[in-house]
Amino acid sequence: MDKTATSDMAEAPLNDLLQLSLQAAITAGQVIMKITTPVILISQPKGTKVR
Amino acid sequence: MLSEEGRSISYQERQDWKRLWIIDPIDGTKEFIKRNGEFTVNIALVENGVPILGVVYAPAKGQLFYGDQFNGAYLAEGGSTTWEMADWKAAACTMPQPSEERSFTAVASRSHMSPETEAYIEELRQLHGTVDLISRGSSLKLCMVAAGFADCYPRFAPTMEWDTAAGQAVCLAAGCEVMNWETKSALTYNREELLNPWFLVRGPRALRSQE
Repeated sequence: MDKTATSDMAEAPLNDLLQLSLQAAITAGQVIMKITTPVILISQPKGTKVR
Repeated sequence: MLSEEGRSISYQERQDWKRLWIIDPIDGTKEFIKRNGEFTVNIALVENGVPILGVVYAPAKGQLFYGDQFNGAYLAEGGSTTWEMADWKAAACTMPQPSEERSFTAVASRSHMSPETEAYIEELRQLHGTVDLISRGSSLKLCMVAAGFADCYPRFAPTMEWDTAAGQAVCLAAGCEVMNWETKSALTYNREELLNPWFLVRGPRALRSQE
């Protein structure tokens, strides 16, 4: 986070920061699930059909 | 911003921070590896040591807990990773939900209970008769109390600030209390020592019963 962003954060209304946090969490969750899904498929027992 | 990855920031540098983010991108590493879905993304905003805003998102469970000190706390369930912000908001319900219909409930693992936790649960049994136990991973433990699915969560084992800040913010927004077990005062953040002391989370029903 650069100094401008830090300064903005210190002044921003709580509601704006909640929206920002929600968006960040939702996006992070999407990325984590995208990354982990192939790992789960690869680790299926031998003989399991992966569609 | 404080996180496990940023733990090396000296206290001398961060002690003057009035506001800071405390973040754990994947809380519940064990749960993540076990693939039981009980890992969370934690984001908290702390002001003068108090968590005033928190988001706890369990993407594999489709659960989003959030809240702040002015607008209360909310839970949205049944979501998926295709949902956008508007979908989550449309599904959100206020927390805590009413809890009088069920037995007094504590968050604790039957298989990994310390002697101190066992003693505390026994005290609860003396007070409430039956005490049900529910077990969850990561910050979902705090969120169970915030949501009204449990009445208390004794944590008499080590945690770090990034493990609890977001969950505590959600709890506080829902009218729950998170108390330093030793000092009996609120658990605070951005301390010199980032290892949390033992703490106790109490929901409205637990607070009423111990007044």
